[in-house]
Amino acid sequence: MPVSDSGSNKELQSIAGIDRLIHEPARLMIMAYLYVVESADFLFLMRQTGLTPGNLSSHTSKLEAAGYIEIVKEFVDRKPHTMLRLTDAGMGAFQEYRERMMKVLG
Amino acid sequence: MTQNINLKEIEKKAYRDSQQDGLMEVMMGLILMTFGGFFYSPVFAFYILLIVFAGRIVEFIRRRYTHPRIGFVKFHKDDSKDALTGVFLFEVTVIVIMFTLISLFGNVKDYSQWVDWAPLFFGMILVGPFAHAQSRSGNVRYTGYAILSVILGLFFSLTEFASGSTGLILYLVLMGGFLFISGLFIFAMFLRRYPLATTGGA
Repeated sequence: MPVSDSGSNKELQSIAGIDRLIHEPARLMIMAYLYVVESADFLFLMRQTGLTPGNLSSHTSKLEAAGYIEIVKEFVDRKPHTMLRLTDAGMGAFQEYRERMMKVLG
Repeated sequence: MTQNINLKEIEKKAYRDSQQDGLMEVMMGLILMTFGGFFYSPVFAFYILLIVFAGRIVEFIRRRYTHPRIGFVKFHKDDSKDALTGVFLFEVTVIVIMFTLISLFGNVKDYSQWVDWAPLFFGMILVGPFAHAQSRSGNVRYTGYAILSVILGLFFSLTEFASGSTGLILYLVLMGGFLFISGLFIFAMFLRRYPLATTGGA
């Protein structure tokens, strides 16, 4: 087998290492938004991503369970307010995901 | 590369959406109008207070009207630091250019020449914050404000008035008034477009 083939095979095989948790479109959107800002609240993310409250809540719970995002629930003017931010682990995972995708897709 | 561009676009959209209430225009317009309108008045102290508390006033109104409608977002501090450095360098460049032009074509020691060209000076100074807002948000309305600011500045610098400072005062009141009214209009449209969300901030 030529060397270049084995090289491209390696790159293709790296698809298997892609983080499936981030790869899901809705979660990828959430991660991308939280990557470019320091933090955002639930309503802002809902408006930006176009996800329903239930959908967003379910995806953010999964990302929180993986340690990728931090969710802080507080009360502002006696109303519940949820702030979300990317953790260091989430930042690293997202960067790695981007690098892998760029390697595979060029 | 494509991924990088997309992230930049996402950031721009987030910034644009966070500024869509028009409150920055309202505050900027109010500051310019107060500066022009009360320059020779004892109420000028009010202007200082307005500048000191401008950020807090906008934040207070946003907490009551903007955040419950579109949510709240906090941007990375490093981004705004770099941008503010850029705006500062631009303002220094404008001051140097104005100084050089007056030195070459006029008399630097003649106070009246500085007063005559003050509207254009302010008009160019305002380009800095507008260019910053345009580059961060990608919103063309800021380019419009920057162009209007320079054109009005040039107009009031070239027009002769009985009193030297009249041109500057008229420029500040007109430009400020335009921004204030535009901001109020954008804010009214924003309130109409985004009725209070029933889901709250859960």
